[in-house]
Amino acid sequence: MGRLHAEEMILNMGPQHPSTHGVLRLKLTTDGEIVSKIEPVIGYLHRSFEKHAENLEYQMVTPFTGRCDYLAAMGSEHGYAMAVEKMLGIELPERVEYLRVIFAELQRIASHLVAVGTFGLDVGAITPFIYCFRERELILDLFEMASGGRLLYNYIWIGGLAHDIPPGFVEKAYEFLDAFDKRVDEYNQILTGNKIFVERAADIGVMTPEVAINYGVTGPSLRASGVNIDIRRTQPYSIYDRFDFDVPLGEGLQGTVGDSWDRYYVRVLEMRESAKIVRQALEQLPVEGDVQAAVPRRIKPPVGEIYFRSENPRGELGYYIVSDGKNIPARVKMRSPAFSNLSVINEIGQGWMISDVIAILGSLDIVLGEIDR
Amino acid sequence: MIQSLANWILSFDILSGLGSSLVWGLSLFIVAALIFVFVAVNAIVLVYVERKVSAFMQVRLGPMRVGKFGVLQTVADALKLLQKEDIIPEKADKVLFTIGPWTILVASVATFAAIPFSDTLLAANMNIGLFYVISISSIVVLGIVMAGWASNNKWSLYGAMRSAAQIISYEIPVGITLVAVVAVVGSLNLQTIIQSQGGVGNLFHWIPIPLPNWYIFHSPFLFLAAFVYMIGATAEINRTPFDIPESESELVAGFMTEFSGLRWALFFLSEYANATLVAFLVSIVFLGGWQSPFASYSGAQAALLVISLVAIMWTVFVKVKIGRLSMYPLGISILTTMAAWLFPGFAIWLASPGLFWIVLKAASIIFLLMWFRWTFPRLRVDQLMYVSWKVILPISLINLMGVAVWMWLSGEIQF
Amino acid sequence: MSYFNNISNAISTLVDGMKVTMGYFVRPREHVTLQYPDEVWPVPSRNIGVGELDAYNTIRSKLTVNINDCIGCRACERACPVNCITIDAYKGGPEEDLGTTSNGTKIKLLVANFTIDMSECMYCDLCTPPCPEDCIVMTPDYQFISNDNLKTEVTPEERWRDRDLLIYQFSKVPEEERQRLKTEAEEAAQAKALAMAAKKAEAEKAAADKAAAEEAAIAEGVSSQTSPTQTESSPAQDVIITAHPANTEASMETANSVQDVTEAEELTQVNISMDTIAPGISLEDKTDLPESENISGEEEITRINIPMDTITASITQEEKVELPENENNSGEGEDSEDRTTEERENG
Repeated sequence: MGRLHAEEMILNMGPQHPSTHGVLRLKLTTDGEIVSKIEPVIGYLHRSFEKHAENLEYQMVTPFTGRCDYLAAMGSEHGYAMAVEKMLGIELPERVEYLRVIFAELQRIASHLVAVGTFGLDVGAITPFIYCFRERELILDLFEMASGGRLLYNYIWIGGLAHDIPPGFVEKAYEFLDAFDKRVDEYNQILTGNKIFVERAADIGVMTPEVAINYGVTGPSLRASGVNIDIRRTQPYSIYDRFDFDVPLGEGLQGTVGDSWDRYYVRVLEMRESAKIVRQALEQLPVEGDVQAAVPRRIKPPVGEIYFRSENPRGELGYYIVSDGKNIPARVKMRSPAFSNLSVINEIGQGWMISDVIAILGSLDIVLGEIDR
Repeated sequence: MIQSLANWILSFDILSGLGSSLVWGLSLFIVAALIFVFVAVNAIVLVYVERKVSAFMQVRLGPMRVGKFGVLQTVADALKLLQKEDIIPEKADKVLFTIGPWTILVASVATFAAIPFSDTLLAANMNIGLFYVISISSIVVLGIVMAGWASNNKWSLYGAMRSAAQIISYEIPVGITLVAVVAVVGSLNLQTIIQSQGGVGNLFHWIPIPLPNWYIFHSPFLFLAAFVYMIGATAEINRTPFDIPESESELVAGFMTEFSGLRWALFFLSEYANATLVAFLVSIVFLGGWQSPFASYSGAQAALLVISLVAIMWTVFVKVKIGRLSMYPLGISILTTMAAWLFPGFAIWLASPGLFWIVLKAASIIFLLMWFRWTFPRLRVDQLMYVSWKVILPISLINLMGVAVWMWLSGEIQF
Repeated sequence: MSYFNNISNAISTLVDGMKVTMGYFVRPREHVTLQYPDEVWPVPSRNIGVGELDAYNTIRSKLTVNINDCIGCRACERACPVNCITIDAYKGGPEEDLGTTSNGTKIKLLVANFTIDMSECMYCDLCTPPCPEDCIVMTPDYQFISNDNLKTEVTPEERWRDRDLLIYQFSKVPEEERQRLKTEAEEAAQAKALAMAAKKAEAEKAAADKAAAEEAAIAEGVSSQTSPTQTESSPAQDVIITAHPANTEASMETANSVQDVTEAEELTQVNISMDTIAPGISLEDKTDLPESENISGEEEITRINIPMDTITASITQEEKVELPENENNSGEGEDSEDRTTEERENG
């Protein structure tokens, strides 16, 4: 008695598909509902950021970095600004560092809110998504107050910030933080513990630490596998060594360590940790101070190269910049975390059903703007 | 109803010249048209209500632009859908693609022929009413498979296959659950089922809370059966958390992916017709149909009921008590949601109290379905099967036996 | 047992979730919807007091320029990463008084046309800080749509009109005056270029004579150091460029990068820069494409556009020298050649 042989079918998921988080195309080889092979096809959102950066002056590149990871534009700008500042050897005023951390961490909360909400959407829960976006709007209000933009800011400039924060910002930020904790409880109530959600996410797409490290997975997805690597903690940049925060790791509370539920829950916990950091930074924020260090009007870093990495909401964001002494970078390479995170999907998604592949993809939290660049 | 309509037409002197068979055919046509109009209007109202309910649950407002509070939004949408270009994909099987949506619509509209809206308002009083409703509503799956296959689209095919597996699996527990009720009544006639639920009795026969003699209060088993039936029925009509055939985040739109315009509108129409059907069935089988919950109380019984209701509300729902609202949310919410039903409903009540009560009960059930939909994630295919075969089916079987034992214990039947 | 635990767990957690949604359902006052045309987004206002536009705040919306304060320095134009700002500024007459800005700066250039293409703007706000007069600002006006657009019928062929509605032109001079200035500038450029070409030809003739004399002097066949293609191509190219209006514009763009330049200077610089750069480029291009001089000329200009530093440097040097000779500017030529080849590799 041989097994019933069924013909395999190639299924094109995307680029127009509601759950591919943009214009990603997944070539699924399916046997019935079971997926035996996943081949991501990327590049539909390619805007040649790296090449473009070679034709722009250093300060002109900043708005384009935000356009790569459009859900975490502050984080991208922060990384780029720090890389160039390191090349120039600029010392930043205290206030700038604190404000940058505040904005980067608020951005992390906003980005994780999207990740958590869309993961719920991927498994069919529509309402938590709306709740998450409601809170995200409050963060965007803060960003709008400071920078004038709601999605793309161009706020963190080389050597400082575009403007100082307006009066009333700190109070509004506190107001948000106070309300936010209860909201997270609400997400836990409606989604995290929900039995259907747990069934859909726990034990699905288990990523062992070995697999995660081999594929270069970083960020919350790596930490969900139990690997304690957070650049804010392991190689503190900016002023992250001054804050007291935990690095949440996946513990397999509902299933195995490194499953989709862990990846989801690590993000939920990270939101609380980020809120903690923002609160500390707001408390320590110098009341007065300049928000722009002395930067030459025409930025010409000395000849040389630099690789600077920072912890973006999606993982390790690296900028490799080569300078030939001119005011235009000779080469800008962006190590985008979501690109490496996506590469693991074939490894952890094989053998699961179509619905699970969507859940796994949702739990990896990719942003196509950053993958294609 | 058909016969009485025919008699009424013949009672006019001018029309009495028409042959009785012709008049009978005419009244048949009128009744069919009335049912179809009911289904269509019902869908328009329900889409609006669903959008509003989902909006309020999601801290939004929902449609607000067309008409006051957007009440005409779905009318506008329906008109738009009717005007849309009729698109049949080139590679689709044109015949099946065309008749698929109509099959679903016919199946879901035809079931309403047996639904008693009041003691007189009933198209066909069949002695196998319940059986007819279950069997006709199963035809829906045929239409879904037709539509999914004919679309010649892999996503549609997946949706159709899932739908077939799901609906067939859930027929069994749903059928067995209803059989438990039939065992109590001893009849498949829906009117008989409703009439046997008249009067007031104790909760679960012994607990001294005077409640209507509805089957949901008949015994713990039938109480459970009502919920089992709700779950099974939710799966049968493809609503969240069992909406895997059209799960929009996985299969784009499942079997509806390639449909647009009028045909798509037909799917929508039948989806809501099915939801309404299930709601009506629950209210008929478990909630006493068109029987008023208050009609047969004596003064003492009513007082006792109010006291016990308040006590139950206090103990059960006090946690949900919210903000400045000092009333009990469940009652309020059901009433507010059904405002769309209540305003015309009051007029209906004056004309025909039976219709009012059954519509109110059905509306509550529909609200419950909406509440499910806007709260839960979606199950996976195999988990759906697990729930069907390993959870709901055993429970419904135990229910069936339990009901028999209960009836023997309470002395309703003797051996 | 875990079977029953599962079921009870499922029921309790599901009811938990239903409590949340019902909680919001009975509190419709907590909704967050904004009914857009009736209620508008509360723009966070923060007056940082710039110029006459008191309403300026940090929001990134419509870019506006207070043209009365503009001195035509092109700082914003250079700062823009997407080139959505174009400025046409001409030098006023010597006795003409162009007035002062609200900061008291004397205006030296007549800004005939200040164009902001909002369809290209990416709202990065990089143009506002460099402005010395604080006259270019982003205003909170984010509603570009108007009912007028809806009334006018736009056929598919007329799609351009949609974009035209997003191009904002600011000018201090009337349309005819602007046209006059433009044509005058073009004519002046042509005349200058022709003069330059004549001068150049003369110089070349002299050089050739000199070379011939040298050749005669050196009896044996020692080849001259100057490349024949180089000397031949340069004047021809100049003539072609000046004949082309498009080229003139492009070369003006090139010159735009120079700070604080007057119109006449610009034009001379254009020609000079063509001269100075031509040797570097023409070595390859001219020999490859002898027929399509037009195209090659344009290509060169677009390529030249990018390495502004080197060009401007070479221009300012050459200006002083006045007579461009190939031997003299060989160093500069090499530099520009380096940059251009680099550019070619890159893109």
